[in-house]
Amino acid sequence: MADEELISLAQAGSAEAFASLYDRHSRSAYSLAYRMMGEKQSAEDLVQEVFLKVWRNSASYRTERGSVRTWVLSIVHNRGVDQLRSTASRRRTQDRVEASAPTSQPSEAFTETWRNNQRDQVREALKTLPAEQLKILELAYFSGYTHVEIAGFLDLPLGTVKGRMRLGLRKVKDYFDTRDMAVPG
Amino acid sequence: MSDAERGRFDELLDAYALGALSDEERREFEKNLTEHPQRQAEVDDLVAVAGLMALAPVELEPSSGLRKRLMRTVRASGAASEPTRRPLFNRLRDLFGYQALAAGAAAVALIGLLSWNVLLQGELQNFRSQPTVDAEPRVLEFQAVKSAGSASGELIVLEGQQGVLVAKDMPRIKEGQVWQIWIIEGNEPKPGGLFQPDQEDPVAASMTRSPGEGDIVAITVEPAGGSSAPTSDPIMTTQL
Repeated sequence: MADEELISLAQAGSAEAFASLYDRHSRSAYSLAYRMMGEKQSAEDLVQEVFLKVWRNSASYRTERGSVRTWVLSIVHNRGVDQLRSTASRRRTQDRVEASAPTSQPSEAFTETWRNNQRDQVREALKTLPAEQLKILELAYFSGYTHVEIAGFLDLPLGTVKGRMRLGLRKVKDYFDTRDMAVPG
Repeated sequence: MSDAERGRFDELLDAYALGALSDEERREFEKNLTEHPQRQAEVDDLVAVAGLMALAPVELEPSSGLRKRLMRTVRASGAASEPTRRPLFNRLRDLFGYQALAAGAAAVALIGLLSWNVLLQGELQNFRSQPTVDAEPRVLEFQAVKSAGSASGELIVLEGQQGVLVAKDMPRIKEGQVWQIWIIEGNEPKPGGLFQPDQEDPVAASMTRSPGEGDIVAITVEPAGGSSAPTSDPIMTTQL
């Protein structure tokens, strides 16, 4: 059964349909939540909150805005950013320290065996980015920093941060465009 | 779109797609986008590209306990029309040590959608909109004790668990007193905001603390300025 059908059934009150959606997408959601929150309990709390939102707001899903997975992950991301920004946590301080240290080699992050083809594509696309562009995309997307904050603690002009964001995103887009591949939705 | 507007739009576009604008910048960008919908497709395109970042993390499995907890909540919420008031009231009696709850609660009337919607216009503008989630606010009805007369109230839980309380026909209280909102997590009441008796009726008050799932929200009368712990019996309660 397609995700869209499961969403419709969940909207009608089917806990079983909702459970199927959870089984399909909890792994992706948790992986993103863990990457953002940095520890298990916060990541699980975030995933639980997001799936409860999916259960209660399944009617707000719009097929034209992308797949169910994209929708779920966008909620994880938005809520994760909200939580990161609402707490001046040690983790954010830690990120700041890490950001000023030499960047890790992206290749290390890509030595895992990927089971999901789309994930493979995305990771391949990100591998093509220079480390300084990837770092800025990661700080923005996963750590919830604004471009001004990133410029501040990387001690870079704001224009440089904006430029690297732009180049990084365009490069990912070009990766898919030049291979005649649709951006996974 | 003027050259200046276009320049500013382009300047913010990538950070917007990544969710890396401040709230103020984001509002500015979305206002600009609303005025120039011809650029919506371009924005959607870049948001989709940025969204690919979500697929990059190493895959991890959440615990089986998370699934169990979640499904328990989902199945329980399916029976939301049959609220278990006794346990809630028992807990409140334990917390507040008061007699009034034992006398039972009076059902409260639903405040019309329109009335609170108008009231909350200003409040809502202060909250962050999340364009990827068209979530409707949750509306929870308060249960009032009999001594509250015709008082009624709703808790509006907005995106991000921000809570707004709307109440009408609240009983008169003495000068030097205020209504105080409490969020009871487990067995611990935590202050959740104040509202004044002299505000226009119905009254809308933003909660200063976000309620979580399962929390009880209660309203008591407290001395002006509020209390650090409840000093009187709750006059209204609801549970998330």
